[in-house]
Amino acid sequence: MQIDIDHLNKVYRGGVRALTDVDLVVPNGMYGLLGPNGAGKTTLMRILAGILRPTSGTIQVGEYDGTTERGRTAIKRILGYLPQDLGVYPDLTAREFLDYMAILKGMDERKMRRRRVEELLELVSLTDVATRKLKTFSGGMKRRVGIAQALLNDPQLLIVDEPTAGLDPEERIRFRNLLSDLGGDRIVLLSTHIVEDIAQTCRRLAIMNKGRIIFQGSTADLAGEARGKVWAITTGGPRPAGDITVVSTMNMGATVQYRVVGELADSSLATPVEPSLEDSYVWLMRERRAPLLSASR
Amino acid sequence: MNSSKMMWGGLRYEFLMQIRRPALWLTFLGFAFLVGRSILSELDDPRFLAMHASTLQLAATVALLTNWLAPLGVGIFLADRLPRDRRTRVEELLNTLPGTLKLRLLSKYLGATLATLLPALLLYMLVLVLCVWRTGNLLLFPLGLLCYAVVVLPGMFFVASFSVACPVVIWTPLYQFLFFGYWFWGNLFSPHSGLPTLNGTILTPIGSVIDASFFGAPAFGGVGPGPTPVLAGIASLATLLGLAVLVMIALYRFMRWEQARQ
Repeated sequence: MQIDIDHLNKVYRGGVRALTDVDLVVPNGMYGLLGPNGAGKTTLMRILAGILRPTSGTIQVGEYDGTTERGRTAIKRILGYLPQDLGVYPDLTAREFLDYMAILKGMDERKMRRRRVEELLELVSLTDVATRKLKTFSGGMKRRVGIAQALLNDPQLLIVDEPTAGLDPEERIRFRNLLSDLGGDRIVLLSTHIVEDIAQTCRRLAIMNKGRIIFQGSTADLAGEARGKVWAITTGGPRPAGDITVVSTMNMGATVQYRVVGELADSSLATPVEPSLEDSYVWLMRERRAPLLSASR
Repeated sequence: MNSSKMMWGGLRYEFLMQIRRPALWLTFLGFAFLVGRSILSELDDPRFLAMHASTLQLAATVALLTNWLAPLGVGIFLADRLPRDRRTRVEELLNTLPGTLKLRLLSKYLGATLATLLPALLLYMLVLVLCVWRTGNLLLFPLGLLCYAVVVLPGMFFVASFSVACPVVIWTPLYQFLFFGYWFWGNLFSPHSGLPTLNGTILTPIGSVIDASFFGAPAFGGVGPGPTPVLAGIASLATLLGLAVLVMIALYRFMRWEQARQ
């Protein structure tokens, strides 16, 4: 199965243009959608999940047309969705909430449903707290409940919107490990502004900015975009000059080590380094502000 | 996907979430204290008993008097059920599920309403037990339950539908405030006071027209229209239940339209 999006546009009431001429193909497996806040990622996720209607354009999810009512209903049957702002009923326990969601997903056979709920509680390591009310859960625990509810119906399309935002490092690592096991025969669309989330879980990605797709391809292709443009500089003096973006700074006591992307005014003290995904992302965001670029599909 | 199983499952959880609210039980306990004292003092008055030609008439009056406050609680506690989905941000998740909006609304309406009615019913049954104890008339209990179903429940479902639907379009605390005022205006103002009121009409949700027409219950304390033809009772019952259905249909249509606009 794959997702085909053609010339998708979304203009909100009031004239706010959230998506402009989005063309995207999402194959099976883990697929990342990267971009800064306000890029249009969540709008795209919501349109795919059937919450929002596109203004124009076409969406095909496997055999289903995502622009029709019937198609949206069919997609919802194979969909698992973890929204950016996950809401839960605070007075239900984790087990009750998952059971309720399972019922609403059409899992009406009680024994099978309860077995599935227990499996997922085990998967997300919440079995021990399954009888606690959700209002007592931390943010990370609620996010795990969220991924569990998204997996209830063993979806063919899993949409995960900013799953690690706001989580502490330990929870973030746990979540990434969970996500990386979910690919396989399904489409997992992971939307995030955290490059590391994509780097650790996805082979293919798209980058959005200001409602447009500015890159589509593999993570290897993206890493190659900034080759020759990434430098490490160790200096006890002032910050390096030039048309650069400082990606990271490490204080070494008497000296400071900078990692920069761009064109240095003086590269004699700089060491070229192999670009990471984050370096390439920064480079791309700098360079692709005006023209659009998409790698061949 | 079995719609009736989905609806039953949804209804069960909506019932659970509502029944677990401590404020609901505390409020109806307060009502029980107020209403119970009042009914017991009436039963001690021989003139009150003399007003009723039969046990059925007495049961009908007790049903009406015990439940003049309960719908207030029903209306106020149901008003936050739909806005709660938006406030807790569950709504976005619910809109991605294959269960239809129609089923979800129906299970929320029925589940939350039945849960809110449970303490009201328990309060009423307690009052019936006290009445049986005071009068020594065992028939009061089953007849009281019959009168509850016929006189009180239609108005409760009518109130419930408006309380689930209206807060979708107006601010919940404002609705609760207006509902509070409406309840007193529409049920307890005497029609002879000179001010327009719903009291005594087929739209009276307290059930006084049904009470008077089916069971011949006398007017009491400004509540109740006095002798009323049976047709008026049938019209009131049909109007209250019919409006409840129409309001839920309007709610569904409105929410569909809202979704399509996004």
